[in-house]
Amino acid sequence: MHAEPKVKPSGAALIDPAKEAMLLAALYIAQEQRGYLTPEVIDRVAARLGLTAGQVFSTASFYTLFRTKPVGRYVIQVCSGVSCYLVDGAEKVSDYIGAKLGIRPGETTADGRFTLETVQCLASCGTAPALRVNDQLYENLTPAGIDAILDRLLGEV
Amino acid sequence: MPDLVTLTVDDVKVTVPAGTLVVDAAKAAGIEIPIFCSHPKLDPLGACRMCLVEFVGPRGSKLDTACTVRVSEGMTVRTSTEQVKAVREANLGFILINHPLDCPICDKGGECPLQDQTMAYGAGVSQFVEAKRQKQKHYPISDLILLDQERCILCWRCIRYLDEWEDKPQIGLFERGGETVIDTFPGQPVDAATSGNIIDICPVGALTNRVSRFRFRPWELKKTPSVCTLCPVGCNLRLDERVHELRRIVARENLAVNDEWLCDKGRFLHQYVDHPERLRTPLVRDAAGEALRPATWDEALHRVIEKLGDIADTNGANALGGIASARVSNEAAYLFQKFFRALVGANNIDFADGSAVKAQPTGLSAIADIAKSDLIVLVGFDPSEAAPVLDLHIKRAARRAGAKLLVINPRRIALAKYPGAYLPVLPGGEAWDLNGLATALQAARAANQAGSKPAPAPTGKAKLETKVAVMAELRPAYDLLAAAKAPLFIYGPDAARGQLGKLAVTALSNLAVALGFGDRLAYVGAEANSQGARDMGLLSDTLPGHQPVTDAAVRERLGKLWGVQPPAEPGQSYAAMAAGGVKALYVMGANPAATVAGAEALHKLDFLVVQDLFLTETAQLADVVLPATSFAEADGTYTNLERRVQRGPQGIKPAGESQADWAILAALAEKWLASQTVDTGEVSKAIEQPDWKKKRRKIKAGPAPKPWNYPTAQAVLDEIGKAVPPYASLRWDALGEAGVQWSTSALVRAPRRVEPVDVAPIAAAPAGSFTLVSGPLLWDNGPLMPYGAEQVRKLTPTPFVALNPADLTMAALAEGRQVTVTSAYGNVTLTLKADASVQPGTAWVPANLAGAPAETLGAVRGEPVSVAVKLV
Amino acid sequence: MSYVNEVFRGAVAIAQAFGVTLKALLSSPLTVEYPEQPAAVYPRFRARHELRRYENGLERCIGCMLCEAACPTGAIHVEAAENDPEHPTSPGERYAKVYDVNLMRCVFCGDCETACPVEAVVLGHDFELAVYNRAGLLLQKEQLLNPKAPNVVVRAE
Repeated sequence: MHAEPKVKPSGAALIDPAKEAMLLAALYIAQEQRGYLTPEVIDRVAARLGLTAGQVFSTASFYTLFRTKPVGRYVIQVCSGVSCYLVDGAEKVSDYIGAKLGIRPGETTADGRFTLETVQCLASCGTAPALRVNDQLYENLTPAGIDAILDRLLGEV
Repeated sequence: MPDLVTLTVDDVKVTVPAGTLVVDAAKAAGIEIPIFCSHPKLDPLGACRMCLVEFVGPRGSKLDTACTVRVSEGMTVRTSTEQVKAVREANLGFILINHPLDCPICDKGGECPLQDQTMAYGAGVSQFVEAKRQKQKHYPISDLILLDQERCILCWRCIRYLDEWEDKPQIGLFERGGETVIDTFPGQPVDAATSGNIIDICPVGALTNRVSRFRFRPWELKKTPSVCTLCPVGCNLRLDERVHELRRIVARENLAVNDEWLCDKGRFLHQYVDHPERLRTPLVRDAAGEALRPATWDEALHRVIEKLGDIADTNGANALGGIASARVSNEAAYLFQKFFRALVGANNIDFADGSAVKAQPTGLSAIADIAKSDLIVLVGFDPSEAAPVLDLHIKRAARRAGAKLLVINPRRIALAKYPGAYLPVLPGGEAWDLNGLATALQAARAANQAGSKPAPAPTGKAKLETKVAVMAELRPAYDLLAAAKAPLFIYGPDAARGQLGKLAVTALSNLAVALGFGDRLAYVGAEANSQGARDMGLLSDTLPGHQPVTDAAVRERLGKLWGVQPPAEPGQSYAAMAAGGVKALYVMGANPAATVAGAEALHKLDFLVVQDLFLTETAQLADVVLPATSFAEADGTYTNLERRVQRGPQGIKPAGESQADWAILAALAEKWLASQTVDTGEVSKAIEQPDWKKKRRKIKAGPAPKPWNYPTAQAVLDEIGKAVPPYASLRWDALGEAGVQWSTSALVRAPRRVEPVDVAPIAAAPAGSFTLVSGPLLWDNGPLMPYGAEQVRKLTPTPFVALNPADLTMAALAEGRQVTVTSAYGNVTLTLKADASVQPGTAWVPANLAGAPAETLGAVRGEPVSVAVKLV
Repeated sequence: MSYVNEVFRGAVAIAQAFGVTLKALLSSPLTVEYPEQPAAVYPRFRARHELRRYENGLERCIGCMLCEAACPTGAIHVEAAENDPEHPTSPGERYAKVYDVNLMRCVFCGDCETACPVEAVVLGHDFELAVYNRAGLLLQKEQLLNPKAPNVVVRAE
């Protein structure tokens, strides 16, 4: 038997909801400065919000939006979630891009332009396979479509 | 009375309070629902999906987690349908996909819920043929705990424990999806004082105990339910023994004391029991300057009674004294004072923080009252360092029940961060502030009773006028106290020592009485059995049962029990004896020679007996050293801070020839009695006896002490029941595994009333020097710490002095430098630290560090000490 | 008639009996001149314990103490310890620091072999266990690891 009733805390809240709510925004701002979150940055965010670094890192590592390692100028995140996998896309897309850029998932090109990652889900299951370059989402991918994206990015550089 | 709800679990009707979780309701109905993430002491989560059961509703049945759904009237739950079985099999299959099957080398193997449930509910075969996930397998998350990420099944129990109970969410879930791991932030290992509990609650072998690692397999341990003797909480624990070694300590559930938690010190500090340096035979020193040599018990005990007898004969009984520690069992404490009172005939018995501290005889009303309080007042008491499990309860009360904390302490202790107020004081200055508060509250109460407005702020009154400036500081504290409906007052030895301490305690008592909560005032000592030692009368001025030695009726009652009455004169205090106020000293478990000054005083003694586990600084000076057992090696009872008398049965064979403290005293008393003959002029019976026994002391005719006959600790406890009225009904068997709180109604006490306090404010240390502040540290260098496992010893800091960062800057000192700290009593060299919890103008040196720096500087004298801090 | 018959049958019986003797006289003896000649044992014969090693020299035993748990007579005592990662005694984290077998207690049932998850302990073929004092029957890890003649049989039960 539970020895005490499981009531919601009445006094001091377990976690201050305001701090937690501010965390995502704070991490986003912090990431814009260097492109990724260094341990020092995480420590500072934690100190500012009154959370532990563990809590902040837990959030930062959960969201594919946040990076805890240095990355290239363009971060290509290929979805490897269930839907993308089932349309026979996830591995093919990452293999195709990898072959074109000469890197494997998790790696950055020598010129520091591209980073290839596989991520768990981009919430675009209806239009799988999908990938994201920085903040731009690309859906219904085909080899030709990928070529077009990469060419455009190469042109931009 | 909560509403009751009746539901049906597998055709069993069960009635439980509304709000109960289905998993608990099923347990009440005698039906076990398998769980991993759910835990009775943690909030529901529903992460592992193991507890899925069928809920039968009007639209058919559906699966839901029994650990998150609360009962409702008429609910029908099925826990053993085909669907539930299939789900359990599949779920276990999923959990085992990434779980390595390294059970043979896993410390959890044999007591592992995952193993048990796989055997009970699993499919028996695995469909998974792919390679398993590779993660960190040998990953220390602190000096004490090792994490194996592969074994982890992500139940979040450790995360939730550290968050919900410790309020230190240092472990988190990192990454996501199949990559999820639990981890700590780099460079920030888990340092919570009760972190070891996550090992106990881990349902797999992901978190393992580094001190006990690979030293046991659960099935071959002899398990003895016992209690912890490292702090006054008296947490219930279990001693796990294998081949006469104490291999592990785990927590044991006692909802009234420690729930099922244990602090890291209680859990990990146990290797001293098997330490090779333990004293295994008695040692004697034949002449001054010679080395101690091993001796037989017979020889050593004889030497003790002969010398003590000689000194008593030449210098009188008051030349003998006894210093004990309040770590020892009730039985040892009782026999120790009985030895001195009934046989030697002196009241010279005391322990550190014994008669020097004005303690409340009754301790805490109940640990459970913490959760029911709306204000907890902590005066000179830092539970986070001194009693971590009490700290858990207080944090829980602050966070879950909305209790406010009023912290009155020279240092801003960790608990001061919770809602309430922190009142910084100088050591010894507690009385001034408490008196201010008490006077104000009395005035408010008087005004209230006179029919004026309720609880007005007392201003402008004749007596208060001079303190208007103080009142502004006291205002937050006053508001908290005035608003409290169920306050609890706890004070520790740091606020209660000496003359100033007595005033502080009186003022605090006045305050509690003024609020009408005089019975909610508790003293919590530093050592584990402080309460028991006081109950047993291990004090120079107090007889067993908290009666003053001057009380003739009590002396007469004890005289009937013992054969002789205890002396009527109060004896010498700890400080007086340790300073050399006696000719011969018997030290049981204490170490007064830890400081240089203490050792010098003991040097001058004619005779010193030390009874201890190790050759302490004091034992090195002794003429006779008697090897005693640890709590794990002998039966004994211990009384915790809420007057709960608990059994600590023998769980392991004693080291070498060491004997229980009470058994040594009983043997000594037997010899003492055998060696003396009442000088009646008759020739004593001629019995063939060893030579030394023939040499008998002649004592004056008079009432003779009754013989001592204590074959077991239980026999001693039986006599304690006769000597200490509140213990009258306590018998070894009746104590059970949860212990029994003695009833305060059995104690004869003067009614509580407000006593006048005449107090002046404490002056701050003169410019350029600091007021010395001391206090407990969990990982100090206390009597047993140097003999702990390597991982435990590592946690003790090198002796340091901490100053407020502002003071550091002002004095142009840098952290990490070696400094000489000088007071009127001595000087020590320490490492300098910056610590914002230390108030400006004060210097914090924790008690019991290596070399006893705080004690050398005079921190325990109960008076303000100012120190100078200079770079070496 | 019956007398002649009886005599004849008797003669036949004697001839048969001597036939066995005669045959045995001509065949090579079954007995072995034991101390001079080695005694052959069956492959599944169970005698003194041996602790095996892997080809790379690492001990197989991981100190799991399951043999100790399985032993019906309490003849085995194991104490485990943590491997030094630089100089491991066995693969993985755990090894047997102490492995004692008390042959005075052992009944050679082979349960320890069956219990062993890594096939470290086997009952070998060395049955010459006579010693002049009891201490000689208390085998320690060093002796078990280095039998007189390694003879490793892993039974397929």
